[in-house]
Amino acid sequence: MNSKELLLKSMYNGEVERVPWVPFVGCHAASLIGVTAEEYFKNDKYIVNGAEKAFELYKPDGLPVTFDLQVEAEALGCKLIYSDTNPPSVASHPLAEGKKIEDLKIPTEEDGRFPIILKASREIVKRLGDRIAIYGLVTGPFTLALHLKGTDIFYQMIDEPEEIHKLMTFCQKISMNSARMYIDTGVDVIAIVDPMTSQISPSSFEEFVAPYITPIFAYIKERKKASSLFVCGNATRNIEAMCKCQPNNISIDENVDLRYAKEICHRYGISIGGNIRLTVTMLFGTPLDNIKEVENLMQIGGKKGYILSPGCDIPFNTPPENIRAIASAVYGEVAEFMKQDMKNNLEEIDIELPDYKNEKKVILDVITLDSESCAPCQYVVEAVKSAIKGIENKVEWKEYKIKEKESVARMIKLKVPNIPTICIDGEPVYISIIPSVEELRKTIERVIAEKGL
Amino acid sequence: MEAGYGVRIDVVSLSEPCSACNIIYGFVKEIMERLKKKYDFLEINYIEIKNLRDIYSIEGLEVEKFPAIIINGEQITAGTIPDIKELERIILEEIG
Repeated sequence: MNSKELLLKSMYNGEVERVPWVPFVGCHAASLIGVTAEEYFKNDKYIVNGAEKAFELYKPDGLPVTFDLQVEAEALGCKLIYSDTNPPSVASHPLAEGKKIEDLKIPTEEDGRFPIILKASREIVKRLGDRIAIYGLVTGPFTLALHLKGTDIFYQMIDEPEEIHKLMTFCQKISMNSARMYIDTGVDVIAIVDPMTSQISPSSFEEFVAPYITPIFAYIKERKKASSLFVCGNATRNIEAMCKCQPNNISIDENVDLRYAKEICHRYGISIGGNIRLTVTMLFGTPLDNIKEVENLMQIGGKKGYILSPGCDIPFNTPPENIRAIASAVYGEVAEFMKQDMKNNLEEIDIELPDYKNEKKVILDVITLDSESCAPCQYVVEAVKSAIKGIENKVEWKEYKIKEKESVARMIKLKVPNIPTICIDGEPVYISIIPSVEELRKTIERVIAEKGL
Repeated sequence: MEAGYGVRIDVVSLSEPCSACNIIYGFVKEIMERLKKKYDFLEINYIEIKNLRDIYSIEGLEVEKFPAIIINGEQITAGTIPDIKELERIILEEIG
């Protein structure tokens, strides 16, 4: 099963052998290839090169063509302000400035930046589409309605709801047409990105969003593509209403509790994606912070119907080593990553390992990130403590936290690929697995017997 | 109205927000412009966070979700599009 198959199986709520991961690379791709965000968003070659660079560096199972929620708005006449390091911002709202819905036309392949984006999409599908899943990102109808109308939409939802229904009917057609255009380029997944739905209540969602977004997912299904609903912001109260719209997947950000969202989504047979913290962890954190966070998320998400991803698009200046650290955790290659990342710091450290076979005790080296902050590490340490109850005189154990460089050197010397790992007498036995107390106890007792202790 | 009513609004955002925060920030700025037109005494400061240390130096910031609006040291919003009528009510309350 290659990366693409793995991701799609997970997206359709299947069980897989490894958690798939999708870094939402948009303007960050510009920093990877040394251009500004504005240059990147306006040039198909930069978009393609950026995706290829992200593929090479981050070993993703899926990638978006790009991440720009202003493409439709711009093609409909909204003025944009471009930035060197951020996605563009909408600076005018035609429907708040005298235009009527009848004055606007549904953007086609020829309008705005669609020719650039669709050309890039075709090329990315051609270059990467046999190995990873390619996502086409479409601005959701409610976010688009806000772009066109401005914040008065919130008052109009109360005072003139029929006007908003008319607007949402129009925006639905646009989103559906954008989905069609992306599907025609060969993408595997259509993500309807509607972050502004986090700003409204479940009853408003049910009245003004669900009737318009549900047919879009039905259309995507009809075209035999997978669908996802991306929502950023605190959408906790809307998760169930979102499930009822029947996408294949819902992707959430850090404002929503993954455990809670997963429980609801899985009840509806919908997979869940998310929700690495973008700022505190990815942008400002260290590689170890990133490893710790994704270990915790993968523990919660599990291997059935869960896709690891950031909460939204990755900021421009996010350190690539932080994203590579995430990939190392996904692939169980933390030791290899640490070796490369800390190359110079590790050279002077020489770890002397015990002569395990001749020791008068069974020695457990427990390699963790930190059992106080990494949930899987904590479970492993607790399993060890419980398993050795009553045989403490025959077993010696110690936790080695890889946030200390001596522990990284030990991890490498013990040939431990990933964390958390339990080594028994110098052999990595439980690699990135939390054994049951009974199983671990039996294994230790067997080694005790073999050593004649 | 004349200046000197002492209403200070801090709009705090990340220097590199995600797409969703960027959209909300755009709306917050528009709302601030509308308020400024109506209440020209308002002192509006835009603070863009470039690193984690910045977060801890902002007076009144309690919920670290952005963009955030702080009026006279009290946080009013955290990562949401504000209701302009509610902001007006708070401003009028501040000036007594």
